[in-house]
Amino acid sequence: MQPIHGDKLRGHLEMLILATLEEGQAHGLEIIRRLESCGCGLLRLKEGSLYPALYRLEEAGEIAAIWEKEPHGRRGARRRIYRLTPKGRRKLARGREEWQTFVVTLGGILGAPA
Amino acid sequence: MSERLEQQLQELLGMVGGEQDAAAGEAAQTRLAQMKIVERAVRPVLATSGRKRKMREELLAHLTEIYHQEQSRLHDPVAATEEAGRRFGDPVELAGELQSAVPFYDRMEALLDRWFGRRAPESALRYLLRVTAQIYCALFIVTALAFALCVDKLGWNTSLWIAMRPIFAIHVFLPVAFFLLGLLYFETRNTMFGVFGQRKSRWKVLLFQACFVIAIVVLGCSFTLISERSLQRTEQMLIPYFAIGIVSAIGALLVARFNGSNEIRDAMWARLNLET
Repeated sequence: MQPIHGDKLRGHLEMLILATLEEGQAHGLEIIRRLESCGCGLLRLKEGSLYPALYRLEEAGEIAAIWEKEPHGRRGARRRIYRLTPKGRRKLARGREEWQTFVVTLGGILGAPA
Repeated sequence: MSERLEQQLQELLGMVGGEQDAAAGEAAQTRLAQMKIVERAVRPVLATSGRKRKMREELLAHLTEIYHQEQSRLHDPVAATEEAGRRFGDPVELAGELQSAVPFYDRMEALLDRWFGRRAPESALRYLLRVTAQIYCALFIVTALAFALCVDKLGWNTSLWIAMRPIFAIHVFLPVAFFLLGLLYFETRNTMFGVFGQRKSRWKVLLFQACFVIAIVVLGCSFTLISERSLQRTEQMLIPYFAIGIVSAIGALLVARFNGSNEIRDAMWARLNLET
């Protein structure tokens, strides 16, 4: 299967982030790792592009973040730890329903199984 | 960037959570390269300084982390930096994406900041001169309008001049006070942190604080003397001005203590030469 690059992810990235945070709070790099792991290594996201999506979600109140207390080991500047909010959970649930509808509908048209 | 400024930046790396041994040449150069990648993405974004500060630190933390991953894999700092940059993405594209994540109110605040606030990498002196000129212009317009209105309504007489004297005095002293006290604040801050040509020195900080108090007393008394033309009144105001001076000096010290590192950090980031 061909890798899925950033352009195709546009519009879905926020929902993917909400889904990964459902597993538990995480910083940016961990979110990338979870996305790549769940995406079977086919997701090719420019890692910096994660942060605008995180900021939009935070502004919308769907995720919340706190600075980690200490810079991690010797590695430098602080990271922010993100978690899902109740509003984010509701959006994720709605998003999943919409996605199911989308996949079934397009699958029917394209003749591809859902 | 000058050698002295680069040395200060390396010292500053401790303020942004850098390794203790970051002063070592190669590690510092690598860190500088990472900061330039981040700054290429963040500098063009129209956002308040607080928001940009958050972006810088978080993006730098991420880039540093992936650099270390690549360094562990490639064992070559140059190749690791390149690979980390590739994984991170094009800073120009990222700048556009970051901009789209900045809410409207923040952009408006950033525009106000841009007009009235410090435009990094503007020097403190240039910033103070610019804002002093802006204050003069604004006060001139207000004073001229108020004066014209009063003359129109009441006609020209001595009592009008007496009533307008405090306003004219504000016109003279407010911009001077802003400039002088602003300069003392920046010198206090720079001496507290030992940056921008100042060495860390508690005694110098105390000296600047004393100058702060003296400046407020002198400016206050001069203002009272000109606006009320009464030596007795000026003498009466000496102690209140001294108290205001003490409180203001302590306030300036606290602002420098708690906000100074952020201001210095922002200035250092803004001074990064992204052409090299």
